[in-house]
Amino acid sequence: MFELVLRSQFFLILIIVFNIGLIIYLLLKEKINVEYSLIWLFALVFAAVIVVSKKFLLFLTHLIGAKLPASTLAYLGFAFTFFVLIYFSTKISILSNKLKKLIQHTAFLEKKQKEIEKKAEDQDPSHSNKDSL
Amino acid sequence: MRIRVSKKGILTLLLRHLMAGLEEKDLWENPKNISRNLLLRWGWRKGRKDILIIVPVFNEANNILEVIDNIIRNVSQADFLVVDDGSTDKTRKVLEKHNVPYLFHAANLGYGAAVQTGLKYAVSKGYPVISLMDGDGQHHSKELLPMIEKMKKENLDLIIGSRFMTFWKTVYSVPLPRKLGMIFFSIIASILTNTKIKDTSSGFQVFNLRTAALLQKIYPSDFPDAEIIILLNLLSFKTKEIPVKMIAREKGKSMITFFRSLYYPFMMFVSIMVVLIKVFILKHQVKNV
Repeated sequence: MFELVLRSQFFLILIIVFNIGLIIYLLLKEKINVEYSLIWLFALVFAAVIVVSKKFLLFLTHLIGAKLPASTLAYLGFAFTFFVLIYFSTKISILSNKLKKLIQHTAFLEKKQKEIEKKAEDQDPSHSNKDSL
Repeated sequence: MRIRVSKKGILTLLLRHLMAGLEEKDLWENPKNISRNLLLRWGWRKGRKDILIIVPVFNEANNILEVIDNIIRNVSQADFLVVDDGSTDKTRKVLEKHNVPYLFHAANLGYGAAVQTGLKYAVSKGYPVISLMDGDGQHHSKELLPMIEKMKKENLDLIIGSRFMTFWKTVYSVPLPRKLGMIFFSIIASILTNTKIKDTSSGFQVFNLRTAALLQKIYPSDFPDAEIIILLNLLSFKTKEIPVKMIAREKGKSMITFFRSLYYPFMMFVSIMVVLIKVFILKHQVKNV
Protein backbone atom coordinates (compact mmCIF):
# COMPACT_ATOMS: atom_id res chain seq x y z
CA MET A 1 0.00 0.00 0.00
CA PHE A 2 2.75 2.39 0.94
CA GLU A 3 6.33 2.29 -0.17
CA LEU A 4 8.78 5.15 0.03
CA VAL A 5 11.15 4.96 -2.90
CA LEU A 6 14.77 4.73 -1.79
CA ARG A 7 15.69 7.81 -3.80
CA SER A 8 12.90 9.79 -2.20
CA GLN A 9 14.03 8.56 1.24
CA PHE A 10 17.54 9.68 0.43
CA PHE A 11 16.42 13.18 -0.60
CA LEU A 12 14.20 13.58 2.46
CA ILE A 13 17.08 12.55 4.73
CA LEU A 14 19.31 15.00 2.87
CA ILE A 15 16.84 17.84 3.49
CA ILE A 16 16.55 16.89 7.16
CA VAL A 17 20.34 16.74 7.58
CA PHE A 18 20.70 20.08 5.81
CA ASN A 19 18.14 21.66 8.14
CA ILE A 20 19.76 20.18 11.23
CA GLY A 21 23.06 21.59 9.99
CA LEU A 22 21.43 24.98 9.43
CA ILE A 23 20.02 25.04 12.96
CA ILE A 24 23.42 24.12 14.40
CA TYR A 25 25.07 26.82 12.27
CA LEU A 26 22.56 29.41 13.51
CA LEU A 27 23.19 28.28 17.08
CA LEU A 28 26.94 28.68 16.64
CA LYS A 29 26.43 32.14 15.12
CA GLU A 30 24.06 32.96 18.03
CA LYS A 31 21.31 33.85 15.59
CA ILE A 32 18.84 31.49 17.23
CA ASN A 33 18.30 30.71 20.93
CA VAL A 34 18.72 27.16 22.20
CA GLU A 35 15.09 27.28 23.37
CA TYR A 36 13.76 27.90 19.85
CA SER A 37 16.25 25.63 18.12
CA LEU A 38 14.99 22.71 20.23
CA ILE A 39 11.55 22.84 18.61
CA TRP A 40 13.07 22.54 15.15
CA LEU A 41 15.60 19.90 16.14
CA PHE A 42 12.88 17.73 17.74
CA ALA A 43 10.67 18.16 14.68
CA LEU A 44 13.51 17.24 12.31
CA VAL A 45 14.52 14.18 14.32
CA PHE A 46 10.88 13.09 14.40
CA ALA A 47 10.64 13.57 10.62
CA ALA A 48 13.83 11.51 10.18
CA VAL A 49 12.35 8.67 12.24
CA ILE A 50 9.22 8.68 10.09
CA VAL A 51 11.22 8.67 6.86
CA VAL A 52 13.51 5.86 7.98
CA SER A 53 11.01 3.67 9.79
CA LYS A 54 8.08 2.61 7.61
CA LYS A 55 6.64 0.58 10.49
CA PHE A 56 6.48 3.63 12.73
CA LEU A 57 4.57 5.62 10.12
CA LEU A 58 2.13 2.76 9.60
CA PHE A 59 1.70 2.47 13.36
CA LEU A 60 0.88 6.18 13.57
CA THR A 61 -1.54 5.85 10.63
CA HIS A 62 -3.32 3.03 12.42
CA LEU A 63 -3.29 4.98 15.70
CA ILE A 64 -5.03 8.07 14.34
CA GLY A 65 -7.37 6.03 12.17
CA ALA A 66 -6.23 7.43 8.82
CA LYS A 67 -6.49 5.40 5.65
CA LEU A 68 -3.25 6.50 4.02
CA PRO A 69 0.15 7.29 5.53
CA ALA A 70 0.08 10.50 3.47
CA SER A 71 -2.93 11.65 5.53
CA THR A 72 -0.93 10.99 8.71
CA LEU A 73 1.86 13.19 7.39
CA ALA A 74 -0.66 15.94 6.58
CA TYR A 75 -2.19 15.68 10.09
CA LEU A 76 1.22 15.87 11.71
CA GLY A 77 2.15 18.81 9.51
CA PHE A 78 -1.01 20.70 10.51
CA ALA A 79 -0.53 19.89 14.18
CA PHE A 80 3.07 21.05 14.12
CA THR A 81 2.25 24.27 12.24
CA PHE A 82 -0.55 25.02 14.70
CA PHE A 83 1.72 24.38 17.68
CA VAL A 84 4.51 26.55 16.29
CA LEU A 85 2.12 29.41 15.49
CA ILE A 86 0.60 29.39 18.98
CA TYR A 87 4.03 29.08 20.56
CA PHE A 88 5.38 32.07 18.67
CA SER A 89 2.20 34.10 19.23
CA THR A 90 2.76 33.60 22.94
CA LYS A 91 6.38 34.62 22.62
CA ILE A 92 5.46 37.74 20.63
CA SER A 93 2.84 38.69 23.22
CA ILE A 94 5.35 38.29 26.04
CA LEU A 95 7.90 40.35 24.13
CA SER A 96 5.29 43.04 23.42
CA ASN A 97 4.50 43.30 27.12
CA LYS A 98 8.18 43.52 27.96
CA LEU A 99 8.68 46.18 25.30
CA LYS A 100 5.72 48.14 26.66
CA LYS A 101 7.19 48.10 30.16
CA LEU A 102 10.58 49.13 28.82
CA ILE A 103 9.17 52.04 26.82
CA GLN A 104 7.08 53.19 29.76
CA HIS A 105 10.10 52.98 32.02
CA THR A 106 12.20 54.95 29.53
CA ALA A 107 9.50 57.61 29.38
CA PHE A 108 9.63 57.99 33.17
CA LEU A 109 13.43 58.11 33.19
CA GLU A 110 13.45 60.74 30.45
CA LYS A 111 11.04 62.93 32.41
CA LYS A 112 13.10 62.49 35.56
CA GLN A 113 16.27 63.40 33.70
CA LYS A 114 14.67 66.55 32.33
CA GLU A 115 13.46 67.54 35.78
CA ILE A 116 16.98 67.08 37.19
CA GLU A 117 18.49 69.08 34.32
CA LYS A 118 15.95 71.85 34.82
CA LYS A 119 16.66 71.93 38.53
CA ALA A 120 20.39 72.14 37.89
CA GLU A 121 19.82 74.86 35.32
CA ASP A 122 17.69 76.87 37.76
CA GLN A 123 20.36 76.60 40.41
CA ASP A 124 23.24 77.44 38.09
CA PRO A 125 22.09 78.97 34.77
CA SER A 126 25.68 79.29 33.48
CA HIS A 127 25.93 75.48 33.18
CA SER A 128 22.80 75.04 31.10
CA ASN A 129 23.05 72.55 28.27
CA LYS A 130 20.12 72.85 25.96
CA ASP A 131 21.54 70.41 23.45
CA SER A 132 21.32 67.44 25.78
CA LEU A 133 18.36 65.09 25.43
CA MET B 1 -13.21 22.00 52.94
CA ARG B 2 -15.83 24.59 52.11
CA ILE B 3 -15.79 27.79 54.10
CA ARG B 4 -18.38 30.53 53.79
CA VAL B 5 -16.76 33.79 52.76
CA SER B 6 -18.58 37.10 52.90
CA LYS B 7 -18.97 39.29 49.81
CA LYS B 8 -16.60 41.81 51.36
CA GLY B 9 -14.06 39.05 51.93
CA ILE B 10 -14.32 37.93 48.32
CA LEU B 11 -13.79 41.48 47.09
CA THR B 12 -10.76 41.89 49.34
CA LEU B 13 -9.18 38.69 48.07
CA LEU B 14 -10.00 39.49 44.44
CA LEU B 15 -8.40 42.88 44.73
CA ARG B 16 -5.36 41.42 46.42
CA HIS B 17 -5.06 38.82 43.68
CA LEU B 18 -5.35 41.40 40.92
CA MET B 19 -2.90 43.73 42.54
CA ALA B 20 -0.41 41.01 43.39
CA GLY B 21 3.13 41.98 42.53
CA LEU B 22 2.76 45.62 43.38
CA GLU B 23 5.70 46.99 45.30
CA GLU B 24 3.55 48.34 48.10
CA LYS B 25 2.21 44.89 49.01
CA ASP B 26 1.49 45.80 52.58
CA LEU B 27 -0.97 48.43 51.41
CA TRP B 28 -3.41 45.92 50.07
CA GLU B 29 -4.48 44.35 53.32
CA ASN B 30 -7.65 46.35 53.34
CA PRO B 31 -8.79 47.74 49.98
CA LYS B 32 -10.84 50.40 51.74
CA ASN B 33 -7.66 51.95 53.03
CA ILE B 34 -5.82 51.91 49.72
CA SER B 35 -6.32 55.59 48.93
CA ARG B 36 -5.47 56.73 52.43
CA ASN B 37 -2.47 54.46 52.67
CA LEU B 38 -1.14 55.50 49.28
CA LEU B 39 -1.41 59.14 50.26
CA LEU B 40 0.36 58.53 53.53
CA ARG B 41 3.04 56.46 51.85
CA TRP B 42 3.88 58.85 49.06
CA GLY B 43 2.99 61.96 50.98
CA TRP B 44 1.73 65.28 49.74
CA ARG B 45 4.22 67.29 47.78
CA LYS B 46 4.21 71.00 48.29
CA GLY B 47 2.55 72.84 45.46
CA ARG B 48 1.14 69.70 43.90
CA LYS B 49 -2.52 69.83 43.01
CA ASP B 50 -5.22 67.28 43.86
CA ILE B 51 -6.25 66.45 40.31
CA LEU B 52 -4.18 65.09 37.46
CA ILE B 53 -5.54 65.22 33.94
CA ILE B 54 -3.94 62.62 31.68
CA VAL B 55 -4.06 63.44 27.98
CA PRO B 56 -2.91 60.54 25.78
CA VAL B 57 -1.94 61.73 22.31
CA PHE B 58 -0.66 60.37 19.04
CA ASN B 59 0.14 62.80 16.22
CA GLU B 60 -1.92 65.65 17.63
CA ALA B 61 0.41 68.57 16.94
CA ASN B 62 -2.50 70.60 15.56
CA ASN B 63 -4.87 70.03 18.48
CA ILE B 64 -2.84 69.59 21.63
CA LEU B 65 -2.15 73.25 22.45
CA GLU B 66 -5.83 74.12 22.23
CA VAL B 67 -6.66 71.23 24.55
CA ILE B 68 -4.02 72.33 27.06
CA ASP B 69 -5.17 75.97 26.85
CA ASN B 70 -8.73 74.86 27.62
CA ILE B 71 -7.58 72.80 30.58
CA ILE B 72 -5.56 75.70 32.01
CA ARG B 73 -8.48 78.07 31.51
CA ASN B 74 -11.23 75.82 32.85
CA VAL B 75 -9.57 73.55 35.41
CA SER B 76 -6.84 75.68 36.96
CA GLN B 77 -6.86 73.52 40.09
CA ALA B 78 -5.56 70.53 38.13
CA ASP B 79 -2.14 69.36 37.05
CA PHE B 80 -1.97 67.84 33.60
CA LEU B 81 0.27 65.36 31.87
CA VAL B 82 0.40 64.64 28.17
CA VAL B 83 1.43 61.11 27.24
CA ASP B 84 2.83 61.20 23.73
CA ASP B 85 2.48 57.70 22.35
CA GLY B 86 5.42 57.89 19.97
CA SER B 87 4.08 60.62 17.69
CA THR B 88 5.76 60.95 14.33
CA ASP B 89 4.60 64.51 13.68
CA LYS B 90 5.67 67.64 15.58
CA THR B 91 3.69 66.87 18.74
CA ARG B 92 6.78 66.39 20.88
CA LYS B 93 8.40 69.58 19.59
CA VAL B 94 5.22 71.53 20.32
CA LEU B 95 5.06 70.14 23.87
CA GLU B 96 8.74 70.88 24.42
CA LYS B 97 8.49 74.39 23.04
CA HIS B 98 5.55 75.32 25.28
CA ASN B 99 6.92 73.62 28.39
CA VAL B 100 4.00 71.23 28.64
CA PRO B 101 4.69 68.38 31.09
CA TYR B 102 4.80 65.18 29.09
CA LEU B 103 5.96 61.60 28.95
CA PHE B 104 7.19 60.29 25.62
CA HIS B 105 6.90 56.72 24.39
CA ALA B 106 9.86 55.88 22.18
CA ALA B 107 7.53 53.73 20.04
CA ASN B 108 3.80 53.71 19.41
CA LEU B 109 2.22 51.27 21.89
CA GLY B 110 -1.48 52.04 21.57
CA TYR B 111 -4.08 54.15 23.37
CA GLY B 112 -4.38 51.81 26.36
CA ALA B 113 -0.64 51.73 26.98
CA ALA B 114 -0.50 55.53 26.88
CA VAL B 115 -3.29 55.70 29.46
CA GLN B 116 -1.52 53.08 31.57
CA THR B 117 1.69 55.14 31.54
CA GLY B 118 -0.30 58.15 32.73
CA LEU B 119 -1.97 56.08 35.45
CA LYS B 120 1.37 54.73 36.63
CA TYR B 121 2.65 58.29 36.90
CA ALA B 122 -0.48 59.44 38.73
CA VAL B 123 -0.33 56.57 41.22
CA SER B 124 3.39 57.06 41.81
CA LYS B 125 2.71 60.71 42.65
CA GLY B 126 -0.35 59.87 44.73
CA TYR B 127 -2.92 62.07 43.01
CA PRO B 128 -6.30 61.43 44.69
CA VAL B 129 -8.31 62.29 41.56
CA ILE B 130 -7.22 61.30 38.07
CA SER B 131 -8.97 62.24 34.88
CA LEU B 132 -8.62 61.07 31.30
CA MET B 133 -9.19 63.40 28.38
CA ASP B 134 -8.59 62.88 24.69
CA GLY B 135 -5.97 65.02 23.02
CA ASP B 136 -8.05 65.72 19.92
CA GLY B 137 -10.28 68.40 21.41
CA GLN B 138 -13.43 66.24 21.55
CA HIS B 139 -13.88 66.71 25.27
CA HIS B 140 -14.83 69.97 26.97
CA SER B 141 -12.67 70.53 30.02
CA LYS B 142 -15.55 72.61 31.44
CA GLU B 143 -17.42 69.37 32.06
CA LEU B 144 -14.65 67.99 34.23
CA LEU B 145 -15.37 69.82 37.48
CA PRO B 146 -19.03 68.73 37.69
CA MET B 147 -17.81 65.16 37.06
CA ILE B 148 -15.25 65.38 39.87
CA GLU B 149 -17.80 66.97 42.21
CA LYS B 150 -20.28 64.20 41.51
CA MET B 151 -17.64 61.56 42.05
CA LYS B 152 -16.68 62.99 45.42
CA LYS B 153 -20.29 63.60 46.47
CA GLU B 154 -21.48 60.09 45.63
CA ASN B 155 -18.22 58.43 46.66
CA LEU B 156 -17.76 56.86 43.22
CA ASP B 157 -14.71 55.00 41.97
CA LEU B 158 -15.15 55.82 38.30
CA ILE B 159 -17.28 58.33 36.51
CA ILE B 160 -17.71 58.21 32.74
CA GLY B 161 -18.63 61.16 30.58
CA SER B 162 -21.24 59.70 28.27
CA ARG B 163 -21.94 60.97 24.76
CA PHE B 164 -25.20 59.16 24.38
CA MET B 165 -27.17 59.99 27.49
CA THR B 166 -28.24 63.20 25.81
CA PHE B 167 -28.16 61.81 22.34
CA TRP B 168 -30.51 64.40 20.92
CA LYS B 169 -28.24 67.21 22.11
CA THR B 170 -24.92 65.79 21.09
CA VAL B 171 -23.20 67.05 17.99
CA TYR B 172 -20.94 64.04 18.01
CA SER B 173 -21.42 62.04 14.87
CA VAL B 174 -20.41 58.39 14.69
CA PRO B 175 -20.36 56.27 11.52
CA LEU B 176 -23.23 53.77 11.50
CA PRO B 177 -21.17 50.53 11.81
CA ARG B 178 -19.30 51.97 14.78
CA LYS B 179 -22.53 53.22 16.33
CA LEU B 180 -24.03 49.74 16.02
CA GLY B 181 -20.95 48.26 17.67
CA MET B 182 -21.19 50.78 20.51
CA ILE B 183 -24.87 49.96 21.07
CA PHE B 184 -24.12 46.23 21.01
CA PHE B 185 -21.37 46.47 23.61
CA SER B 186 -23.33 48.87 25.81
CA ILE B 187 -26.16 46.29 25.87
CA ILE B 188 -23.69 43.49 26.71
CA ALA B 189 -22.04 45.59 29.44
CA SER B 190 -25.43 46.62 30.87
CA ILE B 191 -26.62 43.01 31.04
CA LEU B 192 -23.41 41.68 32.57
CA THR B 193 -23.09 44.40 35.18
CA ASN B 194 -26.79 44.95 35.84
CA THR B 195 -26.18 48.67 35.42
CA LYS B 196 -27.22 50.97 32.59
CA ILE B 197 -24.12 51.75 30.56
CA LYS B 198 -24.67 53.72 27.38
CA ASP B 199 -21.18 54.72 26.34
CA THR B 200 -18.58 52.01 26.80
CA SER B 201 -15.92 53.64 24.65
CA SER B 202 -15.79 57.10 26.16
CA GLY B 203 -12.27 58.31 26.83
CA PHE B 204 -13.60 61.03 29.15
CA GLN B 205 -13.32 59.45 32.59
CA VAL B 206 -12.46 60.33 36.16
CA PHE B 207 -11.04 57.80 38.64
CA ASN B 208 -10.09 57.89 42.25
CA LEU B 209 -6.66 56.70 43.35
CA ARG B 210 -7.97 53.27 44.38
CA THR B 211 -9.29 52.59 40.88
CA ALA B 212 -6.16 54.00 39.23
CA ALA B 213 -3.98 51.77 41.43
CA LEU B 214 -5.81 48.73 40.09
CA LEU B 215 -6.02 49.89 36.47
CA GLN B 216 -2.34 50.84 36.17
CA LYS B 217 -1.64 47.13 36.66
CA ILE B 218 -4.21 45.60 34.34
CA TYR B 219 -4.98 48.21 31.68
CA PRO B 220 -4.93 46.61 28.21
CA SER B 221 -2.74 48.15 25.51
CA ASP B 222 -5.25 48.40 22.71
CA PHE B 223 -8.69 49.92 23.19
CA PRO B 224 -9.79 49.27 26.75
CA ASP B 225 -13.47 50.01 26.80
CA ALA B 226 -16.30 47.73 27.84
CA GLU B 227 -14.07 45.12 29.45
CA ILE B 228 -12.67 47.57 32.02
CA ILE B 229 -16.13 48.88 32.93
CA ILE B 230 -17.42 45.30 33.25
CA LEU B 231 -14.43 44.24 35.37
CA LEU B 232 -14.77 47.21 37.72
CA ASN B 233 -18.49 46.61 38.13
CA LEU B 234 -18.01 42.90 38.79
CA LEU B 235 -15.44 43.80 41.45
CA SER B 236 -18.05 46.05 43.09
CA PHE B 237 -16.35 49.32 42.19
CA LYS B 238 -18.91 52.11 42.08
CA THR B 239 -19.20 53.44 38.55
CA LYS B 240 -21.60 55.93 37.02
CA GLU B 241 -22.18 57.71 33.75
CA ILE B 242 -23.10 61.35 33.42
CA PRO B 243 -24.08 63.12 30.22
CA VAL B 244 -21.44 65.29 28.58
CA LYS B 245 -21.25 67.10 25.30
CA MET B 246 -18.59 66.03 22.87
CA ILE B 247 -17.69 67.35 19.47
CA ALA B 248 -16.13 65.51 16.56
CA ARG B 249 -12.47 66.25 15.92
CA GLU B 250 -11.76 69.06 13.46
CA LYS B 251 -8.08 68.44 12.72
CA GLY B 252 -5.90 65.35 12.56
CA LYS B 253 -6.66 61.66 12.24
CA SER B 254 -8.54 59.36 14.60
CA MET B 255 -6.58 56.58 16.34
CA ILE B 256 -9.24 54.13 15.14
CA THR B 257 -8.28 53.19 11.60
CA PHE B 258 -10.55 51.32 9.18
CA PHE B 259 -8.63 48.08 9.71
CA ARG B 260 -8.87 48.41 13.48
CA SER B 261 -12.58 49.09 13.34
CA LEU B 262 -13.00 45.77 11.50
CA TYR B 263 -11.36 43.58 14.10
CA TYR B 264 -12.24 45.73 17.11
CA PRO B 265 -15.66 44.09 17.85
CA PHE B 266 -14.10 40.62 17.82
CA MET B 267 -11.25 41.72 20.03
CA MET B 268 -13.64 43.35 22.46
CA PHE B 269 -15.80 40.23 22.53
CA VAL B 270 -12.82 38.01 23.38
CA SER B 271 -11.61 40.50 26.02
CA ILE B 272 -15.03 40.49 27.71
CA MET B 273 -15.07 36.69 27.70
CA VAL B 274 -11.61 36.61 29.28
CA VAL B 275 -12.68 39.10 31.97
CA LEU B 276 -15.77 37.01 32.78
CA ILE B 277 -13.80 33.76 32.97
CA LYS B 278 -11.12 35.41 35.14
CA VAL B 279 -13.66 36.80 37.58
CA PHE B 280 -15.56 33.49 37.62
CA ILE B 281 -12.39 31.49 38.37
CA LEU B 282 -11.26 33.95 41.01
CA LYS B 283 -14.64 33.90 42.74
CA HIS B 284 -14.73 30.09 42.55
CA GLN B 285 -11.21 29.82 43.99
CA VAL B 286 -12.06 32.17 46.82
CA LYS B 287 -15.25 30.26 47.64
CA ASN B 288 -13.39 26.96 47.80
CA VAL B 289 -10.50 28.05 50.01
